Parts: sequence; C-alpha cells; structure tokens
Amino acid sequence: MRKRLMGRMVAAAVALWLAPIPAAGQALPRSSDGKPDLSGVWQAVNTAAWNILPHPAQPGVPAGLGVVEGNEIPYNAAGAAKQRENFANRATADPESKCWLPGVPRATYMPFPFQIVQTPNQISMLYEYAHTVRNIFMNSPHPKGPIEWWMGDSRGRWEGDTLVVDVVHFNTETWFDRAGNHHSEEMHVVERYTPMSANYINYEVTIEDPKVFTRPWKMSMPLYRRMDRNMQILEYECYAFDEAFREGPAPRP
Amino acid sequence: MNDRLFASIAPAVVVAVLLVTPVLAAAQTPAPSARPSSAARTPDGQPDIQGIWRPAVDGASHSVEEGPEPANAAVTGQRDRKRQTIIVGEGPQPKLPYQPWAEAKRQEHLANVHTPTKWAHLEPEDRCLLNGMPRSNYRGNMQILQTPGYVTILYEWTHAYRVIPLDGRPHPPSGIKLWNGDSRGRWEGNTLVVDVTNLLVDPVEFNMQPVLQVRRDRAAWLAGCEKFRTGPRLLMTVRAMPSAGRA
Repeated sequence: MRKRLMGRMVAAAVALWLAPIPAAGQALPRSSDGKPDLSGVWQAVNTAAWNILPHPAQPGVPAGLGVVEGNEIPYNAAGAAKQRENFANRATADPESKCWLPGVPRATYMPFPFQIVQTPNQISMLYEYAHTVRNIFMNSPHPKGPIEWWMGDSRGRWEGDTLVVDVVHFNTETWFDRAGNHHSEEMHVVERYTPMSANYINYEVTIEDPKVFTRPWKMSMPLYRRMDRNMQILEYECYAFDEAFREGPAPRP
Repeated sequence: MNDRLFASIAPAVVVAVLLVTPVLAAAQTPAPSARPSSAARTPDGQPDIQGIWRPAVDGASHSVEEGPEPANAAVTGQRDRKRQTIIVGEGPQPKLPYQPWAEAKRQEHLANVHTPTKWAHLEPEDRCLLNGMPRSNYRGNMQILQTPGYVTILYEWTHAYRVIPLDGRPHPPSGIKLWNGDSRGRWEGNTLVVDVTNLLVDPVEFNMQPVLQVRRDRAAWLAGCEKFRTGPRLLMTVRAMPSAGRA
C-alpha cells in the first residue's frame, strides 16, 4: 500500500517536472480578457522545415535533432511507402516547390516569421511565407464536412494559459516537411501553444490520421519572439519567383 | 525607369472614392454590432471599425475610370455614371493623369493582355499575385481586426493581409519593396489615415510587370494615403502622392 502510494507520488512529481512550466517570477503579457497575449511576431528556430525527424547535414541542409517525440513517425505500410516515394520525387512533388500553401503544422516551422493577431473571439495567424493565413475561431464548432481546405479549419479554446487549437478538414496535398512526410484528408491536428515567458512559447502538436498512421504521434518545439528592432513581417510572394523559372508558353486567357 | 514611374503622376493628385458597406456579421466576427458608430471604441481607445466589409460595387476592380465590366453593369444596374462608386479625378469623364510615356505603356499593356506571349503579359491577378494598393481594397470581402496599437485587414482575395501599426514607427528601409506596400496608420478623430510606401515597382528581374496598370484599372499608386472614416459605412479616400524621387 505504501509502495503504491509512493509510486504514485513519484509519478506525479515526474509528470509535474516534465510538464511545461512558465518561468517563475515573469509575468506574461495579458490581453483585456485576462488571457495570455500571444500577439507579436514569432519564429521557430530549427530544421523541421527540411525534415521533422533527426537527420545529418547535407549540402544546403543543416543537421537537426528532430522535433518528433520518440524520433519515429508511426506510418502504416502504405504510408511508409508513400513517404519514400515522396522523398525520391521531392524536387517536383513537394507542394512547396509549386508555391502551394504549406498546411498545418508546416506553416508554423517554415523558416519565416509569422504574426499572431489576437482578439477574444478570433486569433489570426499571418505567415510571411506566401502570405498564408489561418483564422482560429474561438469556442465554436467546426463546420460539417466533408470539406478539404489547404490550411484546414481551426477552432480554439483556452485551457488555463494554454491555447488549444483543433484543426480538421484538410486536403491531401500538404506535407509536413521537405522530406516527404505526409498525411491524408482525414488528419486531425491538435496544437497547444503554452507561453513559457513573454518571449517564447512551447508549441506541441498531436497528429492523428487513421488512414496513414498506426497511432497518434506528437512533435514539439519552442517558438521564439522575434526581438529585432522595428520587427515586422515582410512578403515572400512565392508565385512571382515561380514564374521566373517556369518554362513553356504563357497559357491563353 | 523607376524614377520616371514615380514621377508619372506628378504634379496632379488623383482621388478615388470607394463606399464600403458591411455584410451581415457572421458568428465569428469579433465586433458584436455590424454598424460601427463613433461611440464604439476598442479597449485601447480606437474607434471600433471591426467586422467584415465589402466594396459597394463588385467588379469595380475592372476599371477605376469606368466602373464595373459592362456585362456586370447590366446585372447590377451600375451603368449610370452617377452610380459608380469609384471616381477618379474630377469632371464627367475623369481619367488618370498619365504622362505621355506612361499612357503609351498603358496602351502596350492593354494590347498585351489580350494577346499574351509571355507570363508578364497577363494581368497580375490572373497570375495569383497580390493585388497591391489600393486595388486590394476593392476586390471582394475583407475583415478588419483591431488590437492594441494595430489595425489588421484580412482580405479574402488570395488570402492577402495588411498589418497597420499605429505607434508611429518608421517605414522599413527604401530597399524593401512590397507588393502591398508598407502601411503606417494614425487616427485623426474618426478617420484612420494610412500612409503606404515601399510599393513594389517593376521587378524586372522576376516578371517585368510594373505595378502600373493592366487592363484599364491601374494607376501608379506609389505612395498612397488612405482614409477610413467611421459611420454606417466606411468611406475610403485614396490619394496618390507624387514621390520626391527614387524611394
């Protein structure tokens, strides 16, 4: 009896130790409704854009520790085969190579800043990459499907100081990275944004997709506030660059 | 070339007036009322203009001088000159005050857009490029969000957006060129005044398509000043200012 109680106490202590805890003594900025104010310009600083799994360096690609918990993506057999095919064809098959929208969560860790505009009923995320936009509608239900959107449909709520965002209604076109990691239209994403201080957020994402993976899996990473003086997001007008390298005659209007 | 484009509308000032009326507020819009009044304020004291808005005239993007396309006009009844809600200049047939070389360039664009042989001959909207300023403001629905120190406009067309800081910070360096320009705002009473600079002009190395006109609905809005005035409708006035020289 005592051993079990001790075991439970140890487990609880470990759980507390592992859970993200904001730095003591630092007050988070708060909005007028008392919630943490996540407004501002943020950016991930890692190599997830190239490959969310651990990877060595290659020409033009820095080495990365990976952002997937357990360092493994639980593909089923067909999913794993598709990933290998994607990787082999990535120069043309990657939606990023066609300036298509990056989807969720790839938009978060593209190597570009993004801006959070936070109001009580709607939190909009404005990504510098291809002026991608996500509108997170708070405390409201998803529209009924079937719907296939590039960026899905996002519904948010606060759990204490954590912004929890539930995302469904994806299409099949987006990838998780440049290494061909992919999903189906049945993907369900749950994001958790926990501010750890005024200047960084612990970002955790749970992915489930019964068509492609054998179980849910998770990635996590810090998001850092861009502290540059007069920081603002600029533009990456992807289609303008795309044209410069396109071959063939212009289409007839 | 860049200098001449900047000077193409000097010394005249062109005024475009657009009436923007709100659509019925959807459940997810932040403001509880769809009709802003001067009494409604945001927590940081801005007149509250939040909500979903659209230009009063659909298809006005066809031509700022002539209004909507004739096919649309027959349906919407906008043929009557008096009903056009984009007015450029003064007089019965206002036209953009192009310098002769710029008018020639415009005619060249008009010819190319109907018989394109290069990507650059297509109008930017058909190439999924940003619409720039002020065209973005009369190209469909938009949502205005207000947070402390900012007005943010989310455009439905090509998911464009503009973040307008109100704290008087400087524009970015002139070497930064942006399709939608760089916006800085301030409130003068119930009027939001937005100064737009750093507009992208003639990115020759990418697509050889200057911001200056395609079809008949473009102007060299190189440094524009917009005014949003609150009331049952938002009235937006845009003035294109002649540039002092190469930005």
